[in-house]
Amino acid sequence: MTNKAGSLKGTKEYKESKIRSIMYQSFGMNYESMQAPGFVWNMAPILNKLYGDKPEVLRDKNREYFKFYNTNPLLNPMIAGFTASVEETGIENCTESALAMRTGLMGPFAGLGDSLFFITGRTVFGSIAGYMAIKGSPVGLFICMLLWVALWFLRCWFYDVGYTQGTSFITERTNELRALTNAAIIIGLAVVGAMIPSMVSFTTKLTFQMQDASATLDGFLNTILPSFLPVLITFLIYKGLGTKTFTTTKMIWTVIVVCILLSIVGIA
Amino acid sequence: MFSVLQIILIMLIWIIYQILSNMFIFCPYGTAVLIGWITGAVLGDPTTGLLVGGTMELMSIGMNPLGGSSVPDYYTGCIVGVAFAIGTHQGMDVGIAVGITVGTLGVQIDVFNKMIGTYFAHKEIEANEKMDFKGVETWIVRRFAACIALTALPVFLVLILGNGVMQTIVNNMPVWLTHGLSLAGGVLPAVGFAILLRSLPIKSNFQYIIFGYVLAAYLQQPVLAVALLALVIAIVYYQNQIKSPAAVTAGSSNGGVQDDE
Repeated sequence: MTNKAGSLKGTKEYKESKIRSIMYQSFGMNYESMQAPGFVWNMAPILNKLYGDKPEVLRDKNREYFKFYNTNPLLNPMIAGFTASVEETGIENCTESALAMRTGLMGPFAGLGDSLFFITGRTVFGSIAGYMAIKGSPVGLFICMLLWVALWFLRCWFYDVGYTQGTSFITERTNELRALTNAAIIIGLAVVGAMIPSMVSFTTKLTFQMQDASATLDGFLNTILPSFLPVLITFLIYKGLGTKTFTTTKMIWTVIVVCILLSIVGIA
Repeated sequence: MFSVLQIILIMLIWIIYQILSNMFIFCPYGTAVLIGWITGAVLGDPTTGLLVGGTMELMSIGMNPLGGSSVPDYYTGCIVGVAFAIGTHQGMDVGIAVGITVGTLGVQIDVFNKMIGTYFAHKEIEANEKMDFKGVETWIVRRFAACIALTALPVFLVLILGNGVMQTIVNNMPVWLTHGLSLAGGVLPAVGFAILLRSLPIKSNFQYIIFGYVLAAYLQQPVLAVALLALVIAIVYYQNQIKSPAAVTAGSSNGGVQDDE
């Protein structure tokens, strides 16, 4: 191979692979190799272009890329872009080094991407969209849609960065990214703190006699702390999920059953 | 309950949604609201759609399929819930109850989807060994089509079979059951929040929960105001951390890791 490094950029195959690097996940998902087939599909335009005339080489390369791969889908473009640049060099064992990098980075990238894009991203933007929808407004959804567009361009850029600068772009910025994740966590936690009293609702029908007047238990509890019962319930569920007994699904069924029981007994 | 045209339209929305979200053109923020809203609009009641979609969104925000795990499918729950809330004229409580049940059972859809993925992966590897590279890509695209078909099928079945059955069930539901399920609809977002708190490093950042709580519960501020105020704190925090990078690790553990107590 005598390709000059960097000459792929701007070609049809490069653009195709870039778009596939965004979409790849569901094209491969399986219990054995997770996202690996999706990654093969992701690299196919570039590998076909570079090695289409050497079927044995291409087969061996694909064979390697079919091995286990699982990372955060939003950071895959950077790994794919980097793989493209390594494959382009055409050096004999380039697939070996690209695969080593892919395997080495998929864990850290999954941790970083999951906490930034999924956990904190959904906490902030999912909460706002859900909250505003319940108040009857789709504005929160529109904010999310703008974010989808922004993330599309961000991922295109990730692919270019991976191709031109390699993955060092991320690995050298670990501290900045960690600070960014922690900053996002601050927003996420504040939003959850606000969501618990505004979005969890539970009221009892219990009343009790106080001097001559009867008061509702809720009214009394809420003078101690607004939304007392929602806060208490969230705390109990949080504690419950920390034990080995409760999986998420079990917790959901437990809540449903307890609510129906409370409804039968008539205290809520 | 649903006309043929409505069923076709709902299925069309659902399939387009599945394609776009599985291609990650839609990212998992606000998608339940989108499905709810559009389905509601098609059935003539966008407001109920927004309400059910919003509730489903809140219940799903903690459900992240991290590391290839499977989580309850509140998106399937959402479209089914909206359809039944409007179709049975029982309002959003019934819709949410149906949606929760379908969504919680829906965890199996994802498990099954990954299982059939293995079959396709073997077909792809087989084609690769024969150096049939077109075949490799064809099988990968077929795998994607199977994923879409598999996620679409349950909604289709519920809409067709549920048409009569659901109406009967909903009409004969005792009051204690509908009331209980609507109670659960109010409490279940707490499960979503609790899961989120489990996945965030709250031990060293507890003060921000109190910050948000006080603004919402005592000062009646909407969530967007809370988020913007928290953004101010976050920017200040980020700038301080960048100035002294050595101190970053002291702030909190890395986000994705479980923070036990």
